[in-house]
Amino acid sequence: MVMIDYASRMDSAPRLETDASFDVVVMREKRRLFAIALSILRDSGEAEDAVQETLVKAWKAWDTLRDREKPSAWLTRVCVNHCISKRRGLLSRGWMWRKELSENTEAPGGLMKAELVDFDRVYKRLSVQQRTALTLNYRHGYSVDECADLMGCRPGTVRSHLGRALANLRKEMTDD
Amino acid sequence: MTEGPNDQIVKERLDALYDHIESRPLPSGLRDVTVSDLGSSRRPGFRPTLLGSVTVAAGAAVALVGVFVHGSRTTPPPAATPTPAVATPSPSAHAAVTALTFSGYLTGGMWIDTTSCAPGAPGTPAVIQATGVVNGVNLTFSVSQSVRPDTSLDGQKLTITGSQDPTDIATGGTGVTNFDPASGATVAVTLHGAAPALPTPELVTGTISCANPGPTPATTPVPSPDPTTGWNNVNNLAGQYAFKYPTTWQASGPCTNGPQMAGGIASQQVLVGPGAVGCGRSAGAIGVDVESSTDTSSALLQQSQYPGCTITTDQVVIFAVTGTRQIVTNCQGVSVVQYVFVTGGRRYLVALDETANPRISQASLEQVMSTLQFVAGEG
Repeated sequence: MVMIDYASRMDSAPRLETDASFDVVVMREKRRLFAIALSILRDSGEAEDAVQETLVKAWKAWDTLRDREKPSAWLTRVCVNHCISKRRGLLSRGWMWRKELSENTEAPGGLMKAELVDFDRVYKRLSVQQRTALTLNYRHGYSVDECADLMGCRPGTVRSHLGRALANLRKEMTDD
Repeated sequence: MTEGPNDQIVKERLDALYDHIESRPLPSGLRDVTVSDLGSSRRPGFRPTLLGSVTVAAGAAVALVGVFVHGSRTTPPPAATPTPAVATPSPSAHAAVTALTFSGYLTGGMWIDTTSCAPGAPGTPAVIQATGVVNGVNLTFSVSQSVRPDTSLDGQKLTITGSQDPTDIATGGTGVTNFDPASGATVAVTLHGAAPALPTPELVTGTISCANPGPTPATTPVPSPDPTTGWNNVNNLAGQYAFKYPTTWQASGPCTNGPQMAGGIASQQVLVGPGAVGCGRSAGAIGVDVESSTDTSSALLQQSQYPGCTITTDQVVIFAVTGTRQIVTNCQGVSVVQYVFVTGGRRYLVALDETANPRISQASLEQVMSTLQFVAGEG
């Protein structure tokens, strides 16, 4: 079993004290959780639901959770698992996604909206596990072992998801 | 990541996409949520988007109010959560019309349990009506349930389980359910704990009337009322299917932009339910998806997808087509029901994620499924 020091990974997030109030944790974590959920699900409503469910679970378990050393890791794991489990049965089989991109003509990074829309479409074709691995590893900097712990799978599986995700994105870029 | 062709472009666009995602403002449901919201609401039922409403949900057994008319039931109702339930026996037995009273405490939910409401002779539909007051809000609940033609329900228990959308309640709609004379009767009206104005267990009072339309000759079968009468119709010619859904639900679609989805699925989809507000909001709705495939196995839920959970698989026949039903339970709050049918060279996938919208229950799905038809269309 890999022991992970999540505290070192939470550089960008305020360190959570073991006796932090739930209110403080919610205020600190909801933005980060929403970003992760939205990156995985690519649907604002779904992401909102995922974060809400996560917060509800946290609230229900707060009596024990507050005694844990790193609630952030727990919250992240719950949120990620919720995103994955929700999509397993439904969206990965082809349910529709709502367009998330705004009407801005210029997207972040100097990309034109059309390019970003095209890339978003490619990104959405990745499996939910691939998007999860990519989000956690590439965007949020979790190691493969940490991703495996958060996703509830083996590190080799995470590597596989990452490899396939990247291969798919490369292929789509080539096809373009 | 190992370097490869186009990696720079991929990284640039990934960064731009993630930047875009992270620049999104928090939805109001998250922006405004505070611990006080959570603390003042029922923990099991908290959903900020539902604040101010009373929601009915299945499976959230919280409190149970037991009502008994006569002594056909010898065991107490299923154990309820912490609050006391007050049962008020009625002196009348097998009365033609039985008024039941119930009283109990609401702790995020309320169950009305009744037995032996003398609904009538064999073949006679049973009609149960319930009214109650929850925190000053009057609710009327009406359910019709057909009976087995060969058995009188007199002295038996009528089982009605399921959930009821509050709008259904207000309009006297049906929220049926499973009829199981063997296992007993339960009329379940679960008021979800989302109502924020319920700071403490609230006393719930009301009455249940079990209207007996009167005995009818056992030799004269009476057609059962169709609880789906008046429902909205979905007739998807391209998908070659049709079904009905309650008038208080919404339907989205048919959504035909499926080819962009994973696996290149070309779908003819529709979503129905109280939560169906668009093609992108499948969660909380019953989704119907049609694919050009005759392979059932690849659509089935796998145990590896739900480690530690229980997946029950059985065969069902709908519109003379045998299909596979899978139910995922014991899964840390995740509950999925899925039907797979293959007919006419097409694979029909109907699924419900119960966790996403507690207002839709498996019973609701089954009732909708009972109206499903596979029809010839344009293809």
